[in-house]
Amino acid sequence: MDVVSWLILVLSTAITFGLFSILTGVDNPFFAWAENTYVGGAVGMTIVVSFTWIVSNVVAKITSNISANWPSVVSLILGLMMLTRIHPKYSFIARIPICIATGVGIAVSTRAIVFSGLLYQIRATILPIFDWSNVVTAFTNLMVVVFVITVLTFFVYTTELRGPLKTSHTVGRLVLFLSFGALYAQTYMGRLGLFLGRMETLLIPQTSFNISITVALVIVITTFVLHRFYPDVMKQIIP
Amino acid sequence: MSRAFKICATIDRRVWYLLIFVLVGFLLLHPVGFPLKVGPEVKTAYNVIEDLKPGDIVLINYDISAFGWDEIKGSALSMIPHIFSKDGVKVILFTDQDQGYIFLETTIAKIGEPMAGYDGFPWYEVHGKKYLEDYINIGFIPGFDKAIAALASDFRGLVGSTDWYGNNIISWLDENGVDAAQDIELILTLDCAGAQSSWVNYWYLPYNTKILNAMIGVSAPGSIVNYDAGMLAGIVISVRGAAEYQYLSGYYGAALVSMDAFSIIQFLLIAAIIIGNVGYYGWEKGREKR
Repeated sequence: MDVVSWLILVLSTAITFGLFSILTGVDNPFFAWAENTYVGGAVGMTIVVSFTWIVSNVVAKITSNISANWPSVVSLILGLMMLTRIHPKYSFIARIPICIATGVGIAVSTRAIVFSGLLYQIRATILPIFDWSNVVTAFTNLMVVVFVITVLTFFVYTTELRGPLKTSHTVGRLVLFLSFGALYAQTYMGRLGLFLGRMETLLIPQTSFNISITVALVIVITTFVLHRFYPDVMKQIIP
Repeated sequence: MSRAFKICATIDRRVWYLLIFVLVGFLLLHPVGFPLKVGPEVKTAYNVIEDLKPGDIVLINYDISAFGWDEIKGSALSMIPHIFSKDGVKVILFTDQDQGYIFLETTIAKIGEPMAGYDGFPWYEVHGKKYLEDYINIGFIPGFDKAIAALASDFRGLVGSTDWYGNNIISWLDENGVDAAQDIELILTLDCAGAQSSWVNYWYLPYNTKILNAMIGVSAPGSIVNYDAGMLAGIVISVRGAAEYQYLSGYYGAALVSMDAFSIIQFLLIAAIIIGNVGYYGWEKGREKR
């Protein structure tokens, strides 16, 4: 492994364990350093990549043939108008490109969302529930149909809930609780997947394993020593 | 008994963290090899790629940032080689995230090797496919959903004449008949920020383009809903889906290895929920009485 790759490995490991160090329950300089480094790096990256793209695509198009690429000129001017937000006196100018972007965004997405978010979803709930040749499929279909109807009745607010409507409302409420549980489990699974992926990078191969153990020990021991014996120093070095 | 309840209710959360670290580390280094069942949605996704024919154009979108790479890389490192292994299939690489091109290059470097006479990007050969012959990288286009919509309405206009590295791609696009969205046979979107809904809105609905979606766990509910509604051709969910895909495709990797740790930690969470609730009802609830 060359020196640059080794340094990158050490730095990424230090940032990871620096961020994990908050799990010790002690506010420490490693966490502050890692958090600020990550945020700063990500913002810097966004600015540089976006600016490079604008120069190499929009500006290049304009300079090559301005009359044929007049929409790009308009886009560039609107983009520059957004930057006036940083000056309180002229910040109102930024409202114009924001309004245009919002209007265009809504116009473009509305038509599609009516289909993908509504019609296709309704179509997906119109399922055969009387064909029990395949018991599992039929049962699943029945559950989908029943649960969609009962959850919809949970959101009926304009009439008094009595009789079958109240029963459906109660079932819908329970189904919502079940779905929240499933969503939580799904989120947990996702976060665990992320953690496992990172741990795999940190522990395999042997070089990464050695660096990880060393960095983790340095962070934990330093945090403990500072917290236990030099709390004033700790306060001073945390931004 | 109340002492046992008290212990359950007052376990320091750092004990759980440490337990998870130790268990994950141990099981990653010493996998047990629990059995793995491949789900129907992953099988469907596999079959969609398996059915690709020579001449088909596949667009691969990297909706990936640093925060999600470690979760999605299992899918990327198994689905992309599978696509590249299909004879005659042409590939366009694209990213809607500013950090995405880093992970695109990381993937290509892992699954390919530098072309003869070249050293560095973009000149890599992946499963016999050479850069600027069989695949191109149009890189990052800002705007997220607007960029995806603009690609659908004016593909050539937005892509322009050069790739991410400044090479001329006009002849490649002409030779392979890529003029508009209708010419793309399949889209594979690897999502950390839920780009699949934009691909569905602007590519599936107007052009009926087939869309495969691999995503991180937190984006899964939105993808499952669209898959059930028939708008996504296949989905690969998080590390679990990636492990199933690796098993099916034969491109084995870390996702498959991590499944043991995954299962054990899920059991640990169930145990933690039970212990915490026992402690809560046995000790915390009785606090006022005491």
